[in-house]
Amino acid sequence: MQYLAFILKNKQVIFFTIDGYYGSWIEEEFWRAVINTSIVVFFTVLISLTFGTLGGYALARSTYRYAFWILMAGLIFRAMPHMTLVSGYLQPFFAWNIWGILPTTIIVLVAINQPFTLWMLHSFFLNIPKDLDESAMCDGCNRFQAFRYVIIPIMWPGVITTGLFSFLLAYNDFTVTSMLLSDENETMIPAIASFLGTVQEEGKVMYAVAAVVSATAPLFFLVMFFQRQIVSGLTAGAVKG
Amino acid sequence: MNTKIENKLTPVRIIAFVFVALWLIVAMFPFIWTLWGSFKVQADFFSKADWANAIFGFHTEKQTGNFFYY
Repeated sequence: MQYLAFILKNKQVIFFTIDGYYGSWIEEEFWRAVINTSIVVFFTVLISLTFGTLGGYALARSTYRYAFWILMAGLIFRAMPHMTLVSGYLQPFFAWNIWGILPTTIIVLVAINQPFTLWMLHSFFLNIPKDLDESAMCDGCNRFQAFRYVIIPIMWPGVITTGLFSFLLAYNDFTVTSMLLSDENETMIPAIASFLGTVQEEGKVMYAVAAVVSATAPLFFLVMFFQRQIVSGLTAGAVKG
Repeated sequence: MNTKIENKLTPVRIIAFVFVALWLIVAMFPFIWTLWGSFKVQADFFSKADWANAIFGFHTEKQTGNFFYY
């Protein structure tokens, strides 16, 4: 590979090379991990938000006491280390021959993520007055139409904030993806870990460094693009007058 | 719109700016170092002889092939 040299005014030369990027993206096919990550993240966020908004709305409007206990169970489930869940999943997944594929991992990530989305969206829905639902239903909407056309449009900051946290959970996950995905289906974080090598095998550290930069860069743009919604979503309900 | 009093550079504001600037440097340093180092070879990025190699790329010149100036 070629290198690039910049000469400073004091004749000092700075050398750059893209060997790390070429090695990781082309030779080691890191682009496959990027595509796998995109699929896993997209479907995890989509499914989590779909069930999270519906479930969070139902729990926020429910007058039954079991709604509280469902949220408590979700909180306990969320507090458990991921490893304890994954080790339990492994045996049935091997038995049913569904280990190593993306849909299985997506389902597990949704299961792990769902209590968090439920809690977060539930608290957002609590801040929206019930009067809005009732007004919509007086105007002829059924419960779902009131949710879809009246509640969701004013919930966007909350949905985007929750979606972003779901995205980060799926994007940064190592435990679940490294345990449940085969080599050809691995996502970015396990791929970076595999570049680092093991005690027995020397890794390609500069490939890992280039891959780390490649994996981190999209997060900067994502947070910068959605910063307004994130801030408004995180501070919603902080001040009550 | 800010008033003149709000825009005035008080000692507290100066300390706050310095603190935020330092905090940003500390927080951003690992990523900037990794970003810069990702365009170097391993011998530079993990150079024990001279940390400046990670900045200037002394081994990057030697280990990579053809050369072109910018």
